[in-house]
Amino acid sequence: MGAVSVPAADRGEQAAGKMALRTSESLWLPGLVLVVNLAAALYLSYKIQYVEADAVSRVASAYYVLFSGDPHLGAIGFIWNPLPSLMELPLVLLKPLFPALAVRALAGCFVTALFGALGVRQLLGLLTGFGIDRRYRILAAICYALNPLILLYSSNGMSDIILMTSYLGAIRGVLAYLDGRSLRPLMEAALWLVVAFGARYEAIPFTAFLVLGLLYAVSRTRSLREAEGASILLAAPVVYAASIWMYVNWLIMKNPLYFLVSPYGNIAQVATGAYATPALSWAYHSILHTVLYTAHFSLLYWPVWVGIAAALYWTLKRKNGDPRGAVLLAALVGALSLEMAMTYHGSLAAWDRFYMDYIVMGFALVAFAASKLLSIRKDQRALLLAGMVVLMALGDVGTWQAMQVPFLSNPDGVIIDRALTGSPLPTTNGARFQVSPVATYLNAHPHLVVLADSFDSYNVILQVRNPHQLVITSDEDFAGILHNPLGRVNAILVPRPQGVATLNAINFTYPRMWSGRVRWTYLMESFHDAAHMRLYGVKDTAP
Amino acid sequence: MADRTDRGSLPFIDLDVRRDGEQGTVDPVNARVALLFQVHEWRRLGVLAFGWSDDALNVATGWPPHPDVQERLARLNIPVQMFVADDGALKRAFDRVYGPESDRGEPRFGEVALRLGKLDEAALEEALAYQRHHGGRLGQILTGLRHLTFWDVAEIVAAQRRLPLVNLLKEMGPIGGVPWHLMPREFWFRHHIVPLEDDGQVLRVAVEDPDTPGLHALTGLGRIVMPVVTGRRDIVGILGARYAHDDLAHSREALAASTPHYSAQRLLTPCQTAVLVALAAAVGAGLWRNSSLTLIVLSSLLLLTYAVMVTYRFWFVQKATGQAREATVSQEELQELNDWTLPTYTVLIPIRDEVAVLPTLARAVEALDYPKDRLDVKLLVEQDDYRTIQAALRGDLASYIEIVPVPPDEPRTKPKACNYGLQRALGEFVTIFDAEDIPDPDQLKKAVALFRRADRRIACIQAKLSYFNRDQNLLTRWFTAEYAVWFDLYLPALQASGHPIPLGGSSNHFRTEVLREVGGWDPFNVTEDADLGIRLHRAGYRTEVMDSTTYEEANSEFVNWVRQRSRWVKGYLQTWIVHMRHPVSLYRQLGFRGFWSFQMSLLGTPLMFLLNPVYWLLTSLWFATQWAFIGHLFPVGIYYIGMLNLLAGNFVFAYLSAVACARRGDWELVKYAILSPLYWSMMSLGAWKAFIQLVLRPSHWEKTAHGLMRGQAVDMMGGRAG
Repeated sequence: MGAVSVPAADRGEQAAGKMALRTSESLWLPGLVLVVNLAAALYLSYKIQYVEADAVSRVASAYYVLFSGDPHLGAIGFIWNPLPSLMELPLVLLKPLFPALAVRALAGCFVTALFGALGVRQLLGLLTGFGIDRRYRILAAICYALNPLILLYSSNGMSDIILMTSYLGAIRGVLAYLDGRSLRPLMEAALWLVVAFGARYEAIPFTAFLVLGLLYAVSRTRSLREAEGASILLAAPVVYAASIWMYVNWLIMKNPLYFLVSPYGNIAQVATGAYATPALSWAYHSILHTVLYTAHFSLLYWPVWVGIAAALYWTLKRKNGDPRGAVLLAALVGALSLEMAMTYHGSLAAWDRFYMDYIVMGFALVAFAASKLLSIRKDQRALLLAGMVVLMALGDVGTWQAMQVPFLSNPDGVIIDRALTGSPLPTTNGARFQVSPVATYLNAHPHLVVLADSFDSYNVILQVRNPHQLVITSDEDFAGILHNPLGRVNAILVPRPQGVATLNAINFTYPRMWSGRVRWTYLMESFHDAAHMRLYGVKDTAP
Repeated sequence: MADRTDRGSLPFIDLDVRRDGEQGTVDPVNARVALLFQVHEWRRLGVLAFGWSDDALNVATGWPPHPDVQERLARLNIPVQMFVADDGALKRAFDRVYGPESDRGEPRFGEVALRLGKLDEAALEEALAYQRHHGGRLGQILTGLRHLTFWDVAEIVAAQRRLPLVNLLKEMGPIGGVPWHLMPREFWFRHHIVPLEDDGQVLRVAVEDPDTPGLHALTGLGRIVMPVVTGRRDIVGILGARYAHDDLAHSREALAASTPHYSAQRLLTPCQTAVLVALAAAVGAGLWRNSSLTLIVLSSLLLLTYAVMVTYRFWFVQKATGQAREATVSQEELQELNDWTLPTYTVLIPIRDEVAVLPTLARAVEALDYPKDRLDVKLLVEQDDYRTIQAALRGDLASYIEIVPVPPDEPRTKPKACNYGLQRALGEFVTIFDAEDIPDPDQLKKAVALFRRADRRIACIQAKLSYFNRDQNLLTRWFTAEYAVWFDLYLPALQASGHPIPLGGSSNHFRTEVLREVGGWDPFNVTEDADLGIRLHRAGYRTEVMDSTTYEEANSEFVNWVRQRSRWVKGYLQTWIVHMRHPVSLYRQLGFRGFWSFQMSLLGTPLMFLLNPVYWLLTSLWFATQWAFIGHLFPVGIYYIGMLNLLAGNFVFAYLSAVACARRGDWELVKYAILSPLYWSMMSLGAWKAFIQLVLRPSHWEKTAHGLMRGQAVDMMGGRAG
């Protein structure tokens, strides 16, 4: 027949993946999880006084867009991926009515609660696609939602849960496409990859490996033509999004790779040595040690190894093999690869949240293993499914136990510990919510107009009642005022130049200002906050 | 006549041949008179017309007469003298006039054909096998299978029925003196009858098929109808010549005469002109008073309009990426379709200066899985396109492909040719294919199945279009991707929402009577198909998109492509202007959603391509020069919408193009479709050409050359055959 009528590819509407999101529990269970996540967010914020600095910073980025002296979208910043802040924009709009939305980063917590719930929905879809019975998939999804790290990151306003949910969505979409040939799940997977990229750069290697997995799976079961086309459909949106991000970086920051090389970026921060640990030093520039270091964090969810074994077996199995196993393995490797590269490169902080991939992929891989065993031992269905749920629950116990190990639980072990005991975080903990003394001072001195670098002053910016008192980094005239402050600001806020604070633009330009050795400034106030901020007045002799 | 039916009052007639002295024998039966009547019916009634006397027709019957004899003779509307004859003599007289009656009645067509040496046994067997499976008349089947010509059939029928045979094309005199007035034009065409002579008592007509019900209808004129047999081409040729002028006038003017507000013959109405002038004056005044504000308002309005169009198009297209929204016919349904019940199907193929595509066309039509005896294919060729006509005549086209020369007259457009063909359409359904089209072989059957399944409101079924030469170059790949979005995603989504569908230029299947009812195509509209789709919707009819594809030849040459594109864009604008003459009535007829859908499809499509280069240019200029004036044109909110259009909108549509290709199974096109924004710049070029031409030459038809990829088409047909 050659080029004549090729049967349309999109007739498989009965595909499992298509049906997966239409079950009743895929509505009520995520709804319930959303409520739980929101409750946890409020509990952590008000009872434990837990407010993640990065979460506040992301909310602050949204705040600059709307409320800074120079409101514009570009104020969202070009270091972190902008999606979390973009999604927080509507909530931040309510800041004048509910300051806690910004000050305590509750806007971010709402977003993560939502994504935590969406993650449960995606997992339910994945489990349905694997043919897991309803009651067991509900139990499995509950296990997922109640995993200590998943629950924590579903309620703390960080970007990690957005990434995890996007991984689940992308994997579900790709597997549903492989199951039924419907293009819609493949498009959804592509969209989830864009969401992932909108949240974190880990999405890029994850996409690359997922595409490799898809290429392998489709070329093995269908045709190379389709493998190529499907891979393009999967990867094109995220490639385009990344191109646009680079374009915007070039357009506004005059460097397409600004997000990578920015003096405020993670790489620059880690280079200050603020996050160095002996283990990371051990892994630095050693492939073997990097792999071992990364593998060590699999203890965050040990059942992942069961799933890895099963996926490997069904991938390598010549007869009746299942290429979906390869897709899952590729996804796992992709999810970890940026962390591995940065570990090797010495650009990574030793944070447990970078390895939550093990939890998400663990659930997916264990469910895959169960589905394969079900196809072999049909008579043992209930037993196998119960075993799967027990394994997943034991994985949660494993996460809990890992949280007791300092090496594996930095910095969240103490948070989870305090959350369970109900006692507030110590004031020395960086994640402890504190009223900014700088903001209190500025609120008491409304005539002051202060130059501040939002890099480490976001807490101040969010707590100052009148945003026009501040000239911040995203303002168009920031750089000009930094060099010629006279007549344009009354004072300059500068943190103690140590650790990542050396990257502060003011410290960078005037390294001796904090110590009082810039002659055209005078010390107005010294604050006893974590950053040891000082406020210097601008003399008439200033440039 | 009642008293005459009493046997006592009826004279007896001896119908046997008797000796008459030296003169030999005398036959009391005048065969010429007997042959005026149909043998089947009269033999069944046992009545034989055997002569004239005293201005009355003499007929003989057996005793007792058949109960229907009285009624039948009364319908002749002439004086009848009835005689009683001996049954045996009557039978012998029948045999003398009509030939001996076998056990099965008259000799069969096949037997006669064999006897005359027109056929061999194998061909007859093949035709009979075909007939058993598909039904149909043997003569037409045999011509369809190319075992007989139409003239062969005429000879066989004449011999079978013992009717005179006339070669009309050679022997018929001037057609002006022929009694055409006895019946309307449609009657002669429908029954394929040519009136020859009428003396008030006897009407002599030429027929292709002596069993046509038309002959029966003619007896109602009060004349004795005397049929002669002729070939189909003779009938068609004479009728065509007789009505060419009338049909041409009708093709050109019918729509404009019946519903002038639907005709694009004159583009702008005075009211529309006034609105246009008022708008231009308002803009001019605004520019004069406050040019900056006016430009900001204009750019904002256009950008917002653009954003709405993009959102609308995206919404519809993405809806169709999930589940199939077109009407589908399963293989089981097709198999259940009884060929015996299939109606005559007219296929109109307008062709002009396209000699190269004729072989493809012939093979494509031949490949159609439809009983050939019920295919009425009309090749509509401009009468002065001698090359194409000559090539078609030499081309050994199948018998059911009729070459219809369309008299040369302005406007020389495809819709005018189609209207011309429509008037001669014999089918219950009619479709239109372009000359280079290769439809899926089961397309006609699918259309019949869908028409039967649907209610009468479904007046049109649009097949999907794609390209057989998609891999020829980058342009054809992009073109194929564009069609995939349009026909596989957008139109099915419109259909599913019950919105008006601008039809594609080919492979739209209609109920013939509805198409005639709405006035056919607008000969002055250069996208008559889109216009017809809207008119059908306004008239309360609906269109479905079916899961069957016609493969066309994509324009592979840039200049040719731009010409074609400019015609399409111009046509869309033309159609929009025509239907917006009375926006309130349009709104009432289409409803809220339909009205806005119309705006988005007919105005939105060209407008997007007209605006694209403007915004691209402004964006490029801004980046190159940072000219503050450009930034000034776009206030903050509008600017973000514009950026979203530019960055997200363009990609989303390129991506959906790729999805559409994948959905068709054209996976190899996915990578090209992703690059389709480059293609859109070409579309914009075509759009601007169209816009300028709309003002300067509104009805000019930009002819597109076909047949550039003849080899591939033939390859494809070969593949299909294989």
